[in-house]
Amino acid sequence: MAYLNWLIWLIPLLPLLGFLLNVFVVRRERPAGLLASGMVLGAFVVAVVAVIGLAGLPAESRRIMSTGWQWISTGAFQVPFGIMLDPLTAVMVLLVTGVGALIHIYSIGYMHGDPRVVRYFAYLNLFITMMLFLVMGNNLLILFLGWEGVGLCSFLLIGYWFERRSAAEAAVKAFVVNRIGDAAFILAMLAIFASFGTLNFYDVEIGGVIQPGFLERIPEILGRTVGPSWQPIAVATGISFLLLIGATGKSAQFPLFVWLPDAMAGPTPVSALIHAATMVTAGVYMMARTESLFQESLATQSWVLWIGALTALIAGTAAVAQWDIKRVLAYSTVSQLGFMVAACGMGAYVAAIFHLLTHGLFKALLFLGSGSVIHGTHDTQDMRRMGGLRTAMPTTFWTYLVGAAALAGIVPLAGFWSKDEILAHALSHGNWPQLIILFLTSLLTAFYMGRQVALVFYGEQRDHSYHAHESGRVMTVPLLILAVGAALGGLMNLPFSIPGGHWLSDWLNPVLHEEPGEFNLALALLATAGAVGMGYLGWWVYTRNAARVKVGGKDPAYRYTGDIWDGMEEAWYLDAAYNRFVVAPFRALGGFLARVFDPQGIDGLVMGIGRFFTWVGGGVRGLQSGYVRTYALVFTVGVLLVLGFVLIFTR
Amino acid sequence: MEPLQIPPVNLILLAPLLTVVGWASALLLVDVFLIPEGKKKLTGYLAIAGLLVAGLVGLPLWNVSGSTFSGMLVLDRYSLSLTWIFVIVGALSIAMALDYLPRHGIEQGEFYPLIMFAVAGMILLAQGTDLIVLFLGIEALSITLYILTGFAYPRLTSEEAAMKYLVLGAFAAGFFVYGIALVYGATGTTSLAGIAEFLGRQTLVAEDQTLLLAGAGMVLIAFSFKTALVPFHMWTPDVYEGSPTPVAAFMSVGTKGAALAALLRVLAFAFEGVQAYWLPVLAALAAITMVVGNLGALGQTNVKRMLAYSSIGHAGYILLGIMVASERGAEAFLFYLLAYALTNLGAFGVVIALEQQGESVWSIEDFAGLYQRRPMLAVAMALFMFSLAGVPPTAGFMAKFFIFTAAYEGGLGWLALVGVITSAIAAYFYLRVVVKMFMQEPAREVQPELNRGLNADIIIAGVATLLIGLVPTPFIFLAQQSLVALGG
Amino acid sequence: MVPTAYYIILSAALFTIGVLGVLIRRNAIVVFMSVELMLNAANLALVAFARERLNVDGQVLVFFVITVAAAEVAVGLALLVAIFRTKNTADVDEVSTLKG
Repeated sequence: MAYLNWLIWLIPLLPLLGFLLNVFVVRRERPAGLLASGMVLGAFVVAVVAVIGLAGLPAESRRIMSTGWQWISTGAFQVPFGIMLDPLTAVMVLLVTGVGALIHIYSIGYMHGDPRVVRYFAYLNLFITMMLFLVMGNNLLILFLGWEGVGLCSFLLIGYWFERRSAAEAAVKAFVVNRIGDAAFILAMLAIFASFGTLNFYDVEIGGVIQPGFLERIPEILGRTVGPSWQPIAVATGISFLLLIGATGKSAQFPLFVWLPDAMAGPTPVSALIHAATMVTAGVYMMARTESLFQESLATQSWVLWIGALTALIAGTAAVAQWDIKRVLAYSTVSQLGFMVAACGMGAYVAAIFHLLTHGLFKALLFLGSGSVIHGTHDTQDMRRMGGLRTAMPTTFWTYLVGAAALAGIVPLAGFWSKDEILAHALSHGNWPQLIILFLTSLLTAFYMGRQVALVFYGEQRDHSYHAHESGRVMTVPLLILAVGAALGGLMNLPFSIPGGHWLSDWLNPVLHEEPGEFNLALALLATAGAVGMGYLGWWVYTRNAARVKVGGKDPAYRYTGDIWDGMEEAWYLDAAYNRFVVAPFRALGGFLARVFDPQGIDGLVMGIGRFFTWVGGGVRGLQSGYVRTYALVFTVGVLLVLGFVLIFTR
Repeated sequence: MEPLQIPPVNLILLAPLLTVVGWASALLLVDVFLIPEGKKKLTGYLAIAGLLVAGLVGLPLWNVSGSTFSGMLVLDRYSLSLTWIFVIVGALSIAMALDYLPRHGIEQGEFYPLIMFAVAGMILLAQGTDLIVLFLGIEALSITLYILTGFAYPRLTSEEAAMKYLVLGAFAAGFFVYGIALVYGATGTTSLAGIAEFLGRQTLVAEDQTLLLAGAGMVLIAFSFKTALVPFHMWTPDVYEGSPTPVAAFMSVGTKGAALAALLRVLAFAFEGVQAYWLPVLAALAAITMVVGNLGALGQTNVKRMLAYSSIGHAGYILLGIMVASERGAEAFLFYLLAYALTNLGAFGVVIALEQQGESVWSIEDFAGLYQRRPMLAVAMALFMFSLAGVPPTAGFMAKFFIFTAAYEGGLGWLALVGVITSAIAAYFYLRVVVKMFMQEPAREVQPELNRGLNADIIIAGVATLLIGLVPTPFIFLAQQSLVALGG
Repeated sequence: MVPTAYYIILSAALFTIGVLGVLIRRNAIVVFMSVELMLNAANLALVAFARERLNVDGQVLVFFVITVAAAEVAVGLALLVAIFRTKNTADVDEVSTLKG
């Protein structure tokens, strides 16, 4: 299969070419959209061909490694600029390029007439390139290249409508929060390099020399510890915990999820692509990729599990109380990502990836559907101003219903199978607390989707300032395709022992050595009954009380819950807490330092000291402030400190 | 009394240095007598030619090594590759200045030879293996820089910057000389090898130990001043802001690089024996430098000052490589220096392109909407900002990665941690420039002016920033080769 | 013979006076003089050590220091004149527009 070695390079390079052309050559809207979509579609076709080629190989040799050139080569430190295609990467690549292509096409309609649309498509193509490097890299450094790249594109796209203040602020927030995760990721890379001497995932042969891969050398670090003797930390725990922090940033987990709901300030197709289907799942992908490292640390795994479960619940409750059509979906995304992370924490990586894939399909569908609603209602996002749209927008309504049912976990749509597999794993591993949390969350999920569908599509239109209309073909066709995917996606990994039933588990088996989850009929029935019941309840409550929903008014449920509802609406005040306890002191510190180390501030400081001396020495007027002399004074203080340290403390 | 012995002198080993000095001296005369007013650009081109010739003269010396002037000066690959870096830095700075000077009405022919003299001082620092020579190198560099800083006469800020720089520079020089005197008093020699030998040979009595440590500390402080380590950095933002922008660009990479290069030799050879004393001091300096430099840059709205604070922060990172007295550390240092020099020169080039005649604002607002007006320029600036912030696949990322791994392996894990955290903060203010360029409408009409020299600078810097990031191996190989037969 | 230590103590005292002068005095000329004092304190120390060790290296360095100091002052005074022309002052505290 030698052709695969060069073929897989086309996958990331085609969108890159699109990006370069859109930046430097293309100046008009139509060619830009067609070029961008064409390139991603091309990448998808190439990916399909490559994956078919990969499937033709025997299961144990399904790993194509292709090295472009030796990126870093200094003695022991070898990092190739190489990409790979293995079963895990293959499903990610198909998701990214497939959903990506649909969203590009959709964008042609959605973004029509925007003054900077060429730039939009350039960013979008760059994003696809970087995401592909992220999932295809055969070492951590390439993964990190993609990791930073997608972060940058996400930043640029959130702030795409920078005239809106909220967009610019949301972009900065996303950036700042993500830096925390990125810093941890860099530290993890340093630690991995220091422990294994390599950043490759797997052994790779370059020029006849085998370069080792750290995932195949995990046993080497078992039993090794770092840190002070009174509190040794196992190396595996330290590294995996740093990686976990990285994942919580990118995949919007507690306590770093605050950026994702705000990120909805970007164009809706961007929310669908980056902030639902692909980029935010990078953390889950990364944990699945380095699964063997995580599996060696029970401590980290229980953190993973708890973080995932808590995130799912917190975000699930928050989603119930939102009025903005996109913020409901955003919190829902955070919540579903929590499911995936929790699955990783249980060691159920296949289930996590399964849910990642189905979620990518139905959440992209929901976001595009909400985009269609926003488009058709002339930029209305507040659900209180909607209502009764099912007659005006039939295609959007039906596809949205499919997506909502899939997310809620209604049999036999995609979400049911993947969510049930996670719950089944929790049950069979005996993780009772998390099982209960996740189960409750899935009930909430059904409820808020029922609420949303009722508020948007049922009842009477509450605000007549716009005339709702169905979106054009270029937007509805992607919706239909995704709806089919959301309906049938569960076929990938059915829990039955029929031929091809465990297709995804079997396919991923060479990478993620894991048995498919045990199907538990009772649990499945309970979950289904709960989902249907809660979904209906949500729908029922909000269609019956439709008259009470007023533009700018409170939720009908507010009467019964009161302050709790406010808490849910604000996602339990995590944002406010950050502003209070992190942002404000940080700003103050920055301002303080600027004042202390700059002439203006030091002037006052020295004046103070000067007065002090005047007071002490009674008439010593020597230390009156002067600017150059202030610098010299600081210099001298530095001299005294250095010499003092050298001469006294090292005695 | 013995007859005075003249030690054998091998001038071949000083060929690049002598070329620069000779060329500059001749150029000074040529400029005065042969080049008419208004054609002073010719002097600039000749100066660039001279620097390039000096670089070429160095080529055949790659496999030569040796010392001369009784071991006061040495030629090894380390000094030679540094020489090349300095020559490139000098040439690019001159290229930036070619149109800058007439545009601001301060075109004087001697600007160009002065840059060459400064380069000569830097080469002296790279080649010196005796504290006396290092002192001369630092002073040759500094005194020319005082003049260059004040070159925008009669703009008062320029004079003020020069004055501040001079007062503090002379102050630091006082500490340097006194430090040398104390070291000399303790060991009886000023040669790096001699000091090392002395320290290795015998244990010092308490008094001499005190003298030596105090002296070493003062020498360290003098280098810290040149490198702009906190708290000896106070001059940096003012001087960068006040001086003509090409000079600021030159200083930000050249002075720092030369001082650090010399410091590496001093620490690795002369004071290796007392590492236990200076390591914690330098570690503390590096840590607060990284913190203060990056935090100081956070609030800046003046791009020149922002780059000044950024250069302070970067000095902290580079220092990590020097402290790890290992080959990995030295390699990482050289690599970082190259990457940082080219990136920073590029960034300053863009600043110059945006600088309007007779203005001294350098406001970040001028970058607003640059992408709409000059997409290429904006993309180039974004590249430089990403490189300074350490985002892959740029040179800056590779450099940071090498430095941090070297520090981690060298047992300075906590400093690497500080480095990672501060560079995470640093990304914020670099990105702000990118935000202005790509995500804002132009605030006021700023027409970027590009010309041949600036174009050359930005293109070279841009290509190098990407190339070093994507294919760092040859550069790392060069850095490794540079450390072969490093002499003390 | 006067012990070397005495010279060193004297030079240290001179050096300290120089440092204090830079820190305290506002007239740029006096600041330059204070810097000179620091350099000459170092020169004194160098000469004293050179004599103690019967080694000329220190004495040679003194010549370099003197030369450098002269060059520095030349540039400094030129700058001072330039500033005096525009601002009519030799007070280092008066030139303080650059900050922040």
